[in-house]
Amino acid sequence: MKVSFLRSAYAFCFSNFHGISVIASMVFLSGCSDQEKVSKLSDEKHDKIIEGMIVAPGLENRKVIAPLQDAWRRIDPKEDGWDSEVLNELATKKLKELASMMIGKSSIQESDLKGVGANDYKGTLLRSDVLRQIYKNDEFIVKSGGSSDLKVSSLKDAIDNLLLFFSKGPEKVALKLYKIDQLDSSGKKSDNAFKGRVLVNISGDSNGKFCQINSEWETIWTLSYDSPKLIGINLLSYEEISRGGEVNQKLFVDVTRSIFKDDYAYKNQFLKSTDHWRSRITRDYGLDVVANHGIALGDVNGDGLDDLYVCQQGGLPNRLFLRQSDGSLKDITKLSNTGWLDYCASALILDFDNDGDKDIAISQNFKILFMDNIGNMKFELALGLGTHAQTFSISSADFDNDGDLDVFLCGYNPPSGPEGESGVMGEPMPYHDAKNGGKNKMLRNDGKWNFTEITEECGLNQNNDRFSFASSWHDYDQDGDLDLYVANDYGRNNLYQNNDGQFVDVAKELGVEDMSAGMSVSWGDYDRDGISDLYVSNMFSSAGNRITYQRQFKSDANIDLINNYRRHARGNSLFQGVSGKPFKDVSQVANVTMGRWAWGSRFADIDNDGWLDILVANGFITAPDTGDL
Amino acid sequence: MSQSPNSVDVSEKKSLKYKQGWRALNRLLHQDKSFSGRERNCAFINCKGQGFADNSSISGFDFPDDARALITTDWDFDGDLDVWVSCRNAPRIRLLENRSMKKADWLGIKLEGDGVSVNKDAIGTEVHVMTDLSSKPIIRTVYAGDGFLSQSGTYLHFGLGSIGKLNKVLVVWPDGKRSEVKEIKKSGFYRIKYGDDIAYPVQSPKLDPTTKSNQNIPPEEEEARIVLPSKLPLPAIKELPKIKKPMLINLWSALCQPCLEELEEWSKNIKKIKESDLHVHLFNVDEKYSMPSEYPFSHSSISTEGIRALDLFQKGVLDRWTDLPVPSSFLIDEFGEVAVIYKGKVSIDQILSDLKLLDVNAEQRRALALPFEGLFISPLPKPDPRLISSRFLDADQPKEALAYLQNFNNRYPNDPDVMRMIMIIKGGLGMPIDEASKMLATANAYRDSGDTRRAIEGYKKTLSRFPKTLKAAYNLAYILATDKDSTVRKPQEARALAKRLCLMTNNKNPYYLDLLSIAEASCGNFDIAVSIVSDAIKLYGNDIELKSAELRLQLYKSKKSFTQ
Repeated sequence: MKVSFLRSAYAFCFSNFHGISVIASMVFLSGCSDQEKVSKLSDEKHDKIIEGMIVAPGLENRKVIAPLQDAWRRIDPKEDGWDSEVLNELATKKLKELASMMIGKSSIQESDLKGVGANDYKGTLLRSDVLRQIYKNDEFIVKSGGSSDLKVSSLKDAIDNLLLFFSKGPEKVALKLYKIDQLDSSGKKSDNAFKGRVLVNISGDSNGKFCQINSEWETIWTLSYDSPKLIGINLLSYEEISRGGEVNQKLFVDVTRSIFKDDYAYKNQFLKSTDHWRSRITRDYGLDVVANHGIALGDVNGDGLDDLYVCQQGGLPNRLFLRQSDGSLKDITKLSNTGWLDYCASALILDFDNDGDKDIAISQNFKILFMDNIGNMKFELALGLGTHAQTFSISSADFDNDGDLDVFLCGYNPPSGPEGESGVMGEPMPYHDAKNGGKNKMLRNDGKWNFTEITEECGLNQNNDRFSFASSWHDYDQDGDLDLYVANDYGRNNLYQNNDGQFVDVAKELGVEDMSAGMSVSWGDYDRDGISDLYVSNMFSSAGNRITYQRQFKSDANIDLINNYRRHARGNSLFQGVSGKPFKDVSQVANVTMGRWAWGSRFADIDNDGWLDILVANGFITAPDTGDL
Repeated sequence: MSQSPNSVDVSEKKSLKYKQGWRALNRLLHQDKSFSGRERNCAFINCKGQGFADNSSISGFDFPDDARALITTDWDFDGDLDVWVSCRNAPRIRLLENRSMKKADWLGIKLEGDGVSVNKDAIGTEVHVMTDLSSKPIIRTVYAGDGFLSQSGTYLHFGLGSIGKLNKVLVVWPDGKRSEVKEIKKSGFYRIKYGDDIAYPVQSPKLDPTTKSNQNIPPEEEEARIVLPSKLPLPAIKELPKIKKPMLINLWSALCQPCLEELEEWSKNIKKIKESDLHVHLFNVDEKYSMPSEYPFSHSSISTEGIRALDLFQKGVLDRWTDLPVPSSFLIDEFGEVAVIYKGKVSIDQILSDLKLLDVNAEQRRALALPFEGLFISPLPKPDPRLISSRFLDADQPKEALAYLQNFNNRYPNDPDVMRMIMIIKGGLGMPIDEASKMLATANAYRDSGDTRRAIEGYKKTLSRFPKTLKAAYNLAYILATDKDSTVRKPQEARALAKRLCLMTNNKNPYYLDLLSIAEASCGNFDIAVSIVSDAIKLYGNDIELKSAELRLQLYKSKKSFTQ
């Protein structure tokens, strides 16, 4: 062991003389087939140690070995028996090659396509023959088309035809494979071919206008566990969106720097990633990889301009920035006494004591802190309460119509039991419909910084065992009191109907349980029929879409359960309110499921046409490696 | 996920496999693995209520961030919605300004409650705007905390399209009152107060123009200085000389340039080092190792096990597990506890200035360890050696894990969490352990985590198997007498247990008498409680419990029982 490690260390040092050289990786994992070695190594020892183990309740095999090795196995699809995942990996690689070939090109070299396209290629054109304008406002024009009847007999022709649309070739090309079936082009089970659905996003300059193509392809590949090739691509759907008018500019531009200018905290705190801090500040302070940290706007000094409060990981202070009259931001964290160094998830800037200035409520892991605005941009801790659950979003409204703001806290992880840490993502049981999450809490404002917990008393204890991420108050039934929707990870959401201060969970009967990984909730009337609609963030999982449709997926389960899993992978949900009836799930027809691994999302009219658009913040963990779990 | 049990009622074995999967996944998350990374944020344009079209790219919203919270506000008061986003990666915050063509009309409205009928922030208020463009109203509501971890700006924003005129603005306050607001013109900001149906125009402020630019992300730094707020013992390394005074351990290779630079600099400053009374020890990691004579420090080679131990130690204290580089240094105190870890080169001035971190108390070190000032609400966390031992366990080194915990336990005896982990590992290794203490420890752990019912169950189990575990009887009776949940409280049962404890000790043990008094009071027998606690007080002498027993006496005298 020592010999091989030293050799690697030497090699590394020569190649990277001025940097820091990494040694420990050579100790554990040497070379590229590290994973196998690790599992073999621990296999040998494994048997000896596990045997005869006596364990405390709930701690079976907890700490001693196995899990890591088990996970490596599961990540390698070849060992887990998921053929579709192997094919996906190979086909995705080919699609990535194709995508990068297309960027900035108006035509592709035949020779470049050799590894991607098969000789006997047959497919359709990849732009619709007929396009219909379906919407136009001042900012955007949307055109839509269906499949194409025009055949082409080479991949080059198909791609070149698509590239023609862009004046200087596309700026961005994304091809995402999300569903695989071992079928041939006629839809029969095949030993020679497989099919995959691909989501396509291509954008760039088209005749002086910025344009985007969204479409879906059916791709057909030669069945090869080595190097599958495209036998054909058929266009399934097609959409073209362009910026209206003559302006060749994107709608949103990043202006952050000109607002923060040379602010010290901005440069030294926010321009460094969570991973930077996770490798410098110890775990004792409370840092995690997921980094669920929120932002809030509110006018803390009453000058008519909203100020910004930013929540942070443990070890990094929350920051309060005061909006200056010139529009820039000034850090007043120290002066305002709001720089909590503990892990803080979210905050609300509101007048909780009805005294005319804005106070701040902060969800601090297993606590909620209320900070009273005492004037001159200073705050003091008025009340701190334990929440008995890791608290993420907080939402506020006057649910009992007594003139002050009450507070609802979303509980995610329960306190860790004797087993100790359960990990940042919790341990949902069962995954698709977890009932072991932390408890939400409802706090009634009784004035003068007295808040009383009334979760049970008001009926919000129903189905209060889920991993709650977000909530929003809204009078969806228009009866004069505010109802509450709660988005839960790993399963079903709640819609608590408020009946004079008593709540009933009506999510199931109104069709908004939304069995999936709920992260965010936004109310709005997107169709302008006067009845409120609901948009909920979930996870679109291309892996989930592939795996849950395979035969070996949960072969012991019934179809309902499998459908629940499929639902989990579907993505975001849009529920259309219908007067006097359950909500209608229009997510797929409205084309708003593909929000990827979504977090915050909301309705917002970004193009000022009076119709609510949707924005989705997404992405879980981007690390320097190129793979993906 | 595919390993998840199909319902909650499943065999232990099956759910164990699933749980292990989660734990494994959680571990991978510490190891710099991408997981749905580089995903581009999405935007969907509403096509007149008839469905949406993805315009992520051409709206310029498709940053490949690990984005989290998202809020909207007309930040620059130009009549369209801008967006703030928080992110996991850098930059961790973005302000995206909406550069719309400003052709459409709009309206910005801020609502104010009176603080009596309607909360001051007017949360829950709906505004309906009717224009001549459509018969359908545009409805917006004031929210606080919707979306995810977020609160949007104070003004409600209405995009109106290109309208001729505003027909009507109706405000529906949360108390049900409706007010139709007159004198309001399109494309302006207004304030509307509860109680008067007037819209007060608001002058938009004169703000400096913003500029579009990339955020200047600094290149990733390789070097890191990691200060431990709670010092932890260095794992055993057999090549390490005996620690008699503060020591700096350094890992170096003769082939690594920064190592040589670092050692040069330290050597030049040997005088300063000597004056500071710091012992520097160099561990060379090279295969053929001969110490160049110019470095005036003690030195040796180090085994693979030693490097491994140092690596697992640094991974244990950090949330992000990247491998230990060369050079690396560990600053330890005279008791062998690590206060600072340096990855990469470190200057002698930094090291000498960090010597003060060895002597300050943990509370001071907690503040000094951080790059920024701030406030703490949480108590100082106690040093947790399990962070380190669990790394050894993951690396399949249970014996080292056990040795580490035992070493910690020798220095700081009787931490229940540490004791429990020692027992678990001993169990895993097939070493003998005391079953009664193990059961007691489990029940105590449930109690400490607030799971009272399982704690009670645990104490009862312990007592039925090992009836002489007096501590279990004591803890059980204490909960049954004092728990704040009346469905948990069983005063009669508590009294019976406490009586037995007192009998067994001939009424000579003040703790048991005190316990009995608590139980009696809990049963409502205050006079008896007064007399028993008085006996306990006499027996306590100068015991630390004396004060609280006296407080209890006062409680009982005023006919009150003692609860947690």
